Amino acid sequence: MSDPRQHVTEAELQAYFDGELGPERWRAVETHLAAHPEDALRLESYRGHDRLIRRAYRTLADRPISPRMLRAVIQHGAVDRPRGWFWPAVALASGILLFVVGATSGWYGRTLLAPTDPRAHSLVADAAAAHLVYAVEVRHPVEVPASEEAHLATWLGRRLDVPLRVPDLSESGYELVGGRLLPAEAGRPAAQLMYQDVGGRRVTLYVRATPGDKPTAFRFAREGDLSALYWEDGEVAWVLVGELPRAQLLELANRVYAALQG
Amino acid sequence: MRFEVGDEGGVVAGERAEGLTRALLAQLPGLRRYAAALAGNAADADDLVQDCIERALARQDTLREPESVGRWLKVILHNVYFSALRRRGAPSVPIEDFAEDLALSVPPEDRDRIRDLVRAMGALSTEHRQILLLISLEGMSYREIAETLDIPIGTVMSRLARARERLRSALDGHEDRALRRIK
Repeated sequence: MSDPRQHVTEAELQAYFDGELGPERWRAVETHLAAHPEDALRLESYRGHDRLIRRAYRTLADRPISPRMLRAVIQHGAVDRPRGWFWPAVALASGILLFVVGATSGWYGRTLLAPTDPRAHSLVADAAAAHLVYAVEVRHPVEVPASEEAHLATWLGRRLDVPLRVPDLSESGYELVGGRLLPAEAGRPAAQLMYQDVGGRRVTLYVRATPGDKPTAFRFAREGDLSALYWEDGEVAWVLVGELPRAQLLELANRVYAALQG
Repeated sequence: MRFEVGDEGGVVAGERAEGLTRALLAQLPGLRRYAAALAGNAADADDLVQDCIERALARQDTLREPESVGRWLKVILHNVYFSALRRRGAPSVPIEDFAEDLALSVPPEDRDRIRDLVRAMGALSTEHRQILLLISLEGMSYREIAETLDIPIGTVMSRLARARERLRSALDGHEDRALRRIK
């Protein structure tokens, strides 16, 4: 090593390995590695460990997120406090979809529903949060893919303890992506079915068992781009969530409803 | 609050699920993964992430650039983790359970290697485990790591070199020969 430019430091080896070394030193490092096979082997071993680390922990990102954690995100966001100047959207962000008696128009007198229905409230909030978490997932949006549709219905139905059908929305342009199981209140799980149109736009159908209840009409919740339609059919509560105009979401909900009756 | 009348029989007011709330939700799966890998079990990790989110939302004004929300959350998570370590010490679940848990998520022929890796990571110092996760699992650059940990890039490189040798020594049974050269 008479030429100091040929001397390769450990930091340079690491940087080379991590793709952080400037091209002017590549040749020096490659020459060094050719002359020092023990270092080349060492980097090879690091490469294997890198892969092993990714492999070992990868599935942790797919595990269901508890409603408690989702609520920490969506409810604390609603707390009114001074905001930073840099993100004006935050000033509007509270993130929770609330069922409230309308204070506008003539609805106030007509609405005999309880002003807030806590269960509907929590269902829609959970469904919306689950949509926002998983609809953006590119690699692992679902646990069970659409190719295993029969298994999907059986598996989710068994876990939810209700007979479950997976509605076909292809006539509306939405193909099934698959489904996943989500934790929910009191140990009763929920499920999420995901559909996608040709443009990659996703809607999710959130399902939770609600034993012993009467069927209800569709109820609509919206803020910003996100809309949700909620209904119960006596055994099961459904929430259809998507970034769609209400008319489109309603069309899809009608199709889901018809498919479930059929 | 804006109210909206639902034509379909109910009446609804919605508030916006945008901005930071939306960004946080999108970060959750990755943040939980990182927290579990760092803490060495999923139960402690969920407590950490819960605290992290609450702190993040309470200190929204400390987020300088919305696009760096992932790094901002890691800084908060690290603070939460280190204060939990000081308070509580050891993880609430043995690393052996975590190794077994993660091994079951891969095919049987790979389970031994995953178990060994998880044990070896658990036996590393927190700083070494942290930097290996940031580079290998999180795919961060030296600069991003330096900013996240608030240390010079030179320290990132030397710490990384030591961490890699420690892991290699644990997994491959090599002596830390290269460690002598890293100074």
